[in-house]
Amino acid sequence: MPDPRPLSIPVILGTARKGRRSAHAARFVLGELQKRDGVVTELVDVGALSVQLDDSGQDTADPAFSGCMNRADAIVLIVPEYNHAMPGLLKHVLDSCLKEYVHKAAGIVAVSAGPFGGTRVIETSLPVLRELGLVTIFWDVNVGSVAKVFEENGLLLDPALVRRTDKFLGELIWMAKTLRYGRESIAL
Amino acid sequence: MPERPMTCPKCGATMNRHGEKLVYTGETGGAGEDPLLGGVMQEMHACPHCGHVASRRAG
Repeated sequence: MPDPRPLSIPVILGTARKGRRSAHAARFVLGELQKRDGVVTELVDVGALSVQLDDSGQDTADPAFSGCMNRADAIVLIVPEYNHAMPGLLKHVLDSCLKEYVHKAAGIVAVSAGPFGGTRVIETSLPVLRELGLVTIFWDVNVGSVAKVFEENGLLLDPALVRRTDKFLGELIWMAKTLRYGRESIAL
Repeated sequence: MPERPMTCPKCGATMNRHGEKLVYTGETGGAGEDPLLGGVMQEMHACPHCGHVASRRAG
């Protein structure tokens, strides 16, 4: 019997940098998720969270963020590549929760100004997400040369991104459904 | 079924223990400490009714 509860899949915009082009990718993925039946989504902007800078780690989260992660069945991380890694602010925010993530699906949309499409930030993010208890999927979205993919006003210039995102979200939703069943029905 | 089922703090349903995570802290002693593994074991629970997730120290 189908689960009547919609899947909750927030999109986390992982940078607070001024002029961030990742915001275009975040809004695009949010829109694609909103087209899916049985899914509710919201945009989480790490730059808008109340972040403790005098503490870190489990249970230091902004209550709105931890509540959102608690409700989530999967998360989409919009991650620009800064010196081969995720932005420090995103790492700090992710580290502020733990139980909220365990056995939930995670997918990465990597964004780069250069041509490599954030492949290196994906590689360096996977062990972090794994340690947090998230289950990463094997589809990614790579947004390389982001200035050529979105206009400055956010208009999509590369139609291939629609197809790639569709495949990515299909896999993420499958994993989210599977892991919800496991979390709620299969005892350790 | 775990020996001590956890009750969902949101809706009151019996939660499912779906995972455990070894957490390394500076603290010693107390519930959940596993001296052999060198950390504190946390149980992860999910509510089959409302989906809420919670954790507690094992023990």
